Amino acid sequence: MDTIISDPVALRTPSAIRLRLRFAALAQMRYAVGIVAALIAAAAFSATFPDFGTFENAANILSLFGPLAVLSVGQMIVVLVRGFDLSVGAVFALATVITAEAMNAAGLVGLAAAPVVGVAFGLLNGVLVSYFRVQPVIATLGSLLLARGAALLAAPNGQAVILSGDAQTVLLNLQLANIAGVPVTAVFTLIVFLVVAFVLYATSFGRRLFMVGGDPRSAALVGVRVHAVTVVAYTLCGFCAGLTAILILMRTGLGLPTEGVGMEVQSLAGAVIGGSQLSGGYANPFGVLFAVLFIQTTQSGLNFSGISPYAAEMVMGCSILLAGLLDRVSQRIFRTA
Amino acid sequence: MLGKALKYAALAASTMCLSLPVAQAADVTVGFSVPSLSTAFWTSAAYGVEKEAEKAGVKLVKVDAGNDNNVSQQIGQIQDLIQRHVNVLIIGAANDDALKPIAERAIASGIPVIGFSTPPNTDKMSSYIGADHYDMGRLQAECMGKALGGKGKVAMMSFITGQIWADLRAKGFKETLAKQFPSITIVAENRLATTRADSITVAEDWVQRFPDLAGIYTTVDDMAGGVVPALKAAKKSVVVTTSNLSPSTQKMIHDGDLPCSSIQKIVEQGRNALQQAVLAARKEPTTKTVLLPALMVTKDNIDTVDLSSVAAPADYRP
Repeated sequence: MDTIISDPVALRTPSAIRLRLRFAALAQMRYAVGIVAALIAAAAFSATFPDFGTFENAANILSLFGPLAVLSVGQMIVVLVRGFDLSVGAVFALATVITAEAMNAAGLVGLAAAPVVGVAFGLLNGVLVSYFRVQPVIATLGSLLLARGAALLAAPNGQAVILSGDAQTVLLNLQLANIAGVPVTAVFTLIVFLVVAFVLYATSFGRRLFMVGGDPRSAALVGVRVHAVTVVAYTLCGFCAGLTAILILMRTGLGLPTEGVGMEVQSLAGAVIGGSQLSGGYANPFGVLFAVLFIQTTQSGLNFSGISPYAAEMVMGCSILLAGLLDRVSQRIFRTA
Repeated sequence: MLGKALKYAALAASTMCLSLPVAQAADVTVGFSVPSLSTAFWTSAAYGVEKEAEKAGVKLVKVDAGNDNNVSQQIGQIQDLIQRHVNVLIIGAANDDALKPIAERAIASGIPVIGFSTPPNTDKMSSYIGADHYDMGRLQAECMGKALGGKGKVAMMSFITGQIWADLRAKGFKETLAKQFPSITIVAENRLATTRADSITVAEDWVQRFPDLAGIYTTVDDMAGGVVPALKAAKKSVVVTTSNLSPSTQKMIHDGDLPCSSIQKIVEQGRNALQQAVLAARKEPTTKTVLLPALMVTKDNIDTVDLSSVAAPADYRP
């Protein structure tokens, strides 16, 4: 199936196009797993807790899912080209520290530091993985430690950097603000997803991402610069980590050198539940959007429930397993259809 | 095919529903947010809060940010508790500045906040419950003074400057020594070491610089855990005092390597926090600050001292 979707030579023949469309339709159904899972979770919790199924709580969940969602969609892009990025959590932590210090020195302009830090690390990861052929696990683990150490060094005493003055007020007010009931942070997140979707589906670069992910050799044969595409994919992932830093700054008003531990794995889970495969070649930003929405809905529901936090962790684990099973089941159903 | 899909969906939904407890009928629901339930301190605190909630017949909703560093996770969890319309919040902050805006947002929306041990950095809280850290330092000074016979040179590992609890412990130690044991002099103070490894380096440095050093004060027992074995290996007889009571500290006291440790009544703090929370939720007057006195553990009382106000029993799971 991989080769049919992504082999650019095969794509030129009419029958292959028809086949590709049919598989694309199947693939779309797979991406519905996130939606189904999110709806099930929302329904179950709403039935249990009267305050869960309200518009205010929907807005609450939307205001909370941003950081993981943006991180996951970045992760999705590198997973698409057969990679993954373990450094995203540490990189966004470093970006919050540098950005908080930049904003304390230069005001709101300092916010630009966040994407710059993200892009720098993305670029580093991309170059290491593509041109130097370092395995993604080593390259991004190295930059994880690099970023974490840099974050602790950059923060006085390794402690949180407090945003001061107008910058803090502006950011915290933005966190609370909403447009027609939709939190500003959620609008920000949705825009990121729309841009990623546009890049993937409406640009030639997007098609090249799919080609490199599906079959890098064939892609190279038809003239795609595989290394360059890989570098850009990692850079976009780093950029998303930088954007995540802005969301975290809005929520906490602090540069947090120790934030984000474990988020790299959660973002991978978000990408995979959203329909990506670690073997590359698949990606759907809306699948990822709903997968993370599912994760956040479940988390919020468990916070509502008051069950033992230890047990809550287990329920969270089971929910992710369930989503994975749902994915398998839906593949079975639609393949035999 | 759709039917099959629905069947799976229904199965998944019912699995999720079954895993949730049925909401209890209670007039007050208390939200309790802590940085990490994988530390002994917060587990014992949760035990105290939970036992008192059972006694008071109120519903308790606990959330755990999972790690001392998960600041944004904790903020998100408190946001969920506000949405759930809990009647009162007890907050132990992963970072006091970061938790300030969300705590004030809760208060503005009519949910009173009780600060626990490390409170959000706001003066709008209904009550603060913590240990009397000054008293913990005072008890260490008394123990040190007695062990040294009232004279000698002492050095202090006082933890990082600006950590209020550490500052208070150091202050209690210094002022008590000055008052009760004026012949004891403090020759050095370190405010950088926090871990076992740091403390070993500092202690080794000190015994070189001050060959007649008689005592070392340590803010937390992690430090003592580094210092005591290092001094023992160097065959130096220096009296070390500390605070807190981890299992390895208990062993050092048993073995006579550590004369004492001053400890806080963590479970008791939890009970008090819940009591204040219920008062605040029922709009009754609260006590602005509740500081619980410290407890001294020595070799003589370690087997008999009642630790039920200090630590959760080993079989407790939050």
